[in-house]
Amino acid sequence: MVIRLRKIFAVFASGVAALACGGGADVDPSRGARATDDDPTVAAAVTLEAREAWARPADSGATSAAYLVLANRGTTADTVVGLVTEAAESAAVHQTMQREGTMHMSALPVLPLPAGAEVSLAPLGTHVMLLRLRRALRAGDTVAIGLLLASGDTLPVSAVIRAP
Amino acid sequence: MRPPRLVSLLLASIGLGLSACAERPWHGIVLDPPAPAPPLAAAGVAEEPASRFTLAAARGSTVLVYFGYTHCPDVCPTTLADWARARRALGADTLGVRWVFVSVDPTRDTPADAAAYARQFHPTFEGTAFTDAELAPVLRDWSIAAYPEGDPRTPDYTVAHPAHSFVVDAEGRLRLMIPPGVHGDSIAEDLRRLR
Repeated sequence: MVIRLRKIFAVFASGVAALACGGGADVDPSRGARATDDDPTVAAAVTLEAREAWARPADSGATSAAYLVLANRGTTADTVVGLVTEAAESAAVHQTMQREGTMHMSALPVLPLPAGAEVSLAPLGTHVMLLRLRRALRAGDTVAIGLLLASGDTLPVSAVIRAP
Repeated sequence: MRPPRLVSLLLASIGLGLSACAERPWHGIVLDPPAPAPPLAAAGVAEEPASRFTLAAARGSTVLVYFGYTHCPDVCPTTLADWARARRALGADTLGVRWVFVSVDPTRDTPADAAAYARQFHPTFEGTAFTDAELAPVLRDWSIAAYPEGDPRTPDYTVAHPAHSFVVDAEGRLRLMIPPGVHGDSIAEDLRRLR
């Protein structure tokens, strides 16, 4: 699930369009988040909650991982279909697996968020890879990550940098 | 006659407690009987002393060895952070323990990269890397697998690598394999028992 430029443009464009049409306030195109009172997708969006988000410290150019808990309190399933972040050249959801004494990682093309379920991204399991960091991540900093959802929303997440 | 009976009961329970202590399980996987550890000798680079490591010259020290790579975002930092916790938990007992991170990603990691990576977790951690040609016999001798997954000509490939940390005792014998996710306090407990 590499950053999908087309998707980002689509999200940004929707924000810009909303502003241009005067139909929405509170649009933050830098994060690609949409939040308008009359937007029918908001009802679905607010039922998704990200919490306990953190990422590992790493040097510029290196790789980090972010972890968080996603809670879908709604009655409709959603799916993370892409990631955007200012901090890295690329971001993807990966899963760590152990097979016959060897650790492997594989990219998850999508991350399902079933209705009423909590999905935990934790060390030695599913995590957000932050590849080719554009800046060093130091303890105490935060990194903004946008989770692009199949519903069309983007869930903004702020992950604090800390050593585990 | 109650007091003597109570005393013997107490003694018996202490005895039971002690034997339970002796039989408490290790957190790592015990290699029994212990076998001599395979060789591990990294020339490293002169300007980075923490990258020059020879297992044969480390006799008298307990040595932890972990095979990973510096672009590893999840398992390696989790393990090295647990090592750092173990080192803190050991306190003065940490003397005589060496912590060695060995990169199995010759394409991206130099010995200096590996040393700098290990040092992020604790200033006393050592780190080194091999060339492709040097790495092959190490993987064979240690009976471990490590290889790129994805296209190593692209920047974002990952590397399959051993899950466990290996523990070599002061006599140069392979004694334990510590699985990923074992807490630092538990690693410290195992290391104390080895001494």
